Amino acid sequence: MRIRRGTYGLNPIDKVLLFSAVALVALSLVFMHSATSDRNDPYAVSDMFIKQAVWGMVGIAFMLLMSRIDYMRFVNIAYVLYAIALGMLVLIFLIGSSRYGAKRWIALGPISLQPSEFVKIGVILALAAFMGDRREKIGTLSNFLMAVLLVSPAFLLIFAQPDLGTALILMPILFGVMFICGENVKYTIVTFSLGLMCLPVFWHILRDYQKSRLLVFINPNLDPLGAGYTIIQSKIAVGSGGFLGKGWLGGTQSQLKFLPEKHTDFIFSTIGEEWGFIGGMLLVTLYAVIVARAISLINEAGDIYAKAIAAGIATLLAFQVFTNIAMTIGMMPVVGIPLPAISYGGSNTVTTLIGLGLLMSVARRARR
Amino acid sequence: MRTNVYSAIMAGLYITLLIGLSFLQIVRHDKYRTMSEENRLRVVPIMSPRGTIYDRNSRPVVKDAISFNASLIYSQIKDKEALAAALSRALDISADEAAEAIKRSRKQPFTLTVIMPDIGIEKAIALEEAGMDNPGLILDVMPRRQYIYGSSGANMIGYLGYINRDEYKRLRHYGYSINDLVGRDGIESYYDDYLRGSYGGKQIEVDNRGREVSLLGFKEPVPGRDIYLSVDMELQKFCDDLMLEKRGAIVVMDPKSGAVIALASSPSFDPEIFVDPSRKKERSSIMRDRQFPLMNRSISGVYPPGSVFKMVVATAALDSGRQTEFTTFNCGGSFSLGRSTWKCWKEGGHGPQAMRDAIKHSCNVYFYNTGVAIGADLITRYASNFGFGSLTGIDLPGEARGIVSGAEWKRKFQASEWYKGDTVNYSIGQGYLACTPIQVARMVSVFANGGYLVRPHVVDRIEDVNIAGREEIDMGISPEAMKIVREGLLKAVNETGGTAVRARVEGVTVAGKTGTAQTGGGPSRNHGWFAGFAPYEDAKVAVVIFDEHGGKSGYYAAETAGKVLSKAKDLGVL
Repeated sequence: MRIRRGTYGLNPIDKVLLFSAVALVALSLVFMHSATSDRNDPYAVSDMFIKQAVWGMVGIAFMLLMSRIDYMRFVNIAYVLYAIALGMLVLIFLIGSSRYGAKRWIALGPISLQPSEFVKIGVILALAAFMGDRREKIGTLSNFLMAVLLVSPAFLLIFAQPDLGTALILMPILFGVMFICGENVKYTIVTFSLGLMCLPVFWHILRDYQKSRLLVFINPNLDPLGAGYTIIQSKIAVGSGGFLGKGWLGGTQSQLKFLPEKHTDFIFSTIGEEWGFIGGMLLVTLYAVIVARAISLINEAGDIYAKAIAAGIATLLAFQVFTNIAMTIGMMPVVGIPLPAISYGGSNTVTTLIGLGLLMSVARRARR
Repeated sequence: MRTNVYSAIMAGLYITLLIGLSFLQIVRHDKYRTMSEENRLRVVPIMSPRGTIYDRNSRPVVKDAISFNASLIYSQIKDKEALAAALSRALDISADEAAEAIKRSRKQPFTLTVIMPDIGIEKAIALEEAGMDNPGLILDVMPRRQYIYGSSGANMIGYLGYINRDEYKRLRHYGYSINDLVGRDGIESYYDDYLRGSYGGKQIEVDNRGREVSLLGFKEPVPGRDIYLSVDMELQKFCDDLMLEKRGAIVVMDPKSGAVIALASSPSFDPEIFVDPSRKKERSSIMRDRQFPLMNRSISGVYPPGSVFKMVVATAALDSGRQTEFTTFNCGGSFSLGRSTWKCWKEGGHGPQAMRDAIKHSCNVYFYNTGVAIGADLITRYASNFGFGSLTGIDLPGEARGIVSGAEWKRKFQASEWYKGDTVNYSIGQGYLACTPIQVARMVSVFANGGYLVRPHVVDRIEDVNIAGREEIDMGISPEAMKIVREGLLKAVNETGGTAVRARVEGVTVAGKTGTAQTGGGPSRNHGWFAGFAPYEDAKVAVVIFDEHGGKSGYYAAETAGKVLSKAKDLGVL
């Protein structure tokens, strides 16, 4: 059924996306050094810096490779890829290793994979395939419900790890893709209303630490040394950075270790402290450039598959960045969402760069 | 169309972050910068020892001793169970108490919380060992005030107390900090500025566990200055012991310089209860004690002087020329004025006598006649010149003025006329007249030194600086008058039939005058007084004994004075 493309000539590699990706990886290393180096020996690089550098290279390689491959090749095997990703999520429950009381990783020799990161790409591709294949049925209730059903296994498996943040990120992806592909907005609104009504029930499903994080979001001083500590220290770090920041390696909050998780989910507090408002907003703007390019690709895309992929990647990036920074500065509860391609972690970095590779593949075949 | 809506949502996210970051980093920047500095910088005060107080023979009276506090810094604790076990072992407390102490330290997680103050040296050693394996457990070494003579001289020396909110507000610009001990009374208070040193401190940068990362600044603590008293603590202790179980005061003073040699007030108290946190009960009970042990009776208590005041009346009569040494009144045992009658203390009377014998016998009738003859105004003038009704200027806080009355005073404060009967009472030191023992000591010193008022003081020098500058106010009393009163005082002690014979001391000529002041509660509530000096020829010591409501006459006060003088002689003060 699927249509082989080739009607249009291929565009050269997308320079905006390429430049942004390289910039992200480079910045990631600059920030990583600041977040992990030893204050007494600031020129020595940490193991984590080296690992992050390796992951950045691997990610760029993947990205360049994928940009050369027709995205339809991935769409055609989307359900298979999605099934493999789901299989890995199931595997976690059997052989996963746990950290902080959550099973999120699969150990593979020296590296540990976080399948929930790759699942995001799987979900986007599966949604693209679903929307493209059933484009005549878009707008019907059954199509809407089937799309929700398609994403549900990923959502539930991640939620059960438990990893509330990553599970919740799937929602904007789902609705973003559906919205761009032309699904009926009514159904989305009804779903949200139902969800809101179910919130009290939802509360009881949450683990204790998740509840305390939400309570602490409302009032961090409830437990200033426990659950509230991170958010208080993070706000102090970002706020004390001011307009221009304290300078690279000059952050006292991060260098004196007041900040926990300062190289992973809370790396933005190190960035905000050392680079200030200017540095933070430049980073946010860099992400915005990628998102804007993705949005323009939605318009330029030749088919609905490409539109769905561009919308999915754009939504994923935008909501991850927003949620991560918002939680760092106390505007949202703390949920474990990394800053794409900046926070320490191979799965995060590679997944983000794969996403950018997909975008570049779309761009290569876009109408100009 | 949908792409535009989608773009708008994305722009919304961007703008939300822009607003959030600018609020935190620009609008609230100052607040968070301060918080980050507070996180990172600590000022660790380095305590400075308070100055030592020595007596006139350089014996230490009050000094800072080392004390050990068991303390915790909550944020540094790693293993609560192990710490609780170590605490209960080292401090000999139950596991529950240890857990409770750890919990208490959580309130201020980054600062030192004292969980058990002043543990002895043995527990301190055990704790120091336990601290090596248990981060967060700290043996805090602090100077602690030690009062070597206990309750002896406590009213004069004073005590320390934790600074209160009002004092802190007033004094913080002078280097006082919260949790500071400040002098509360006596020398500790009056000389607080000198005794307290200034804290040193170091400003350090710390990491998240409160560990010192770097030293940013250091200020050497300056220890307090040592103070040397004119007081002889041996004599002081002797006086305090004499007053045990009694109420009253003893003043021993050098009549020429005003240097106080002993200043006893009874009942007294143990000043260490104010620096020992575990003795809170004693602290509050002493505050409520109806006997007012915290009041220094020798300078703050005001009492009718009784017959010791006759020295003043006699001087007034002789110096003004209104009477001579030969002016004689007959004492038939009572004195009548209008329809009122006043008795002499001796039934049957003393017969006819002149001034010297009247002083010797402390004859009331003689002084009733004298008082009425010279008038209340003159007595008031002389009393004021002798320092009654005004502060002596002693270097101690809380001195009382007392009352010197007279017609004007009575009109003003009692809204009543001054009657001749008032003059009668006035002339034997009763009625509208009240004074402190230190005022009496200053008054009798005038007769001891030949005619000038001194300023009493208890501190001779601070370190090497002599601060006991002599202050003499010449009274301008005629030598004849001075001679006559002095001879009267000599007779009172040394001639048979004198009222103060009990004050005699082997080998020293003592002169003095007793007093028995009625207080309206019957003879059992009478105050007993003695004021005198020795040696008569060249006085080295003036002594005042005050026995509050002792119910005994000045006769017994004279006996106490004799003991004090004899001890002073043994100690080489006399």
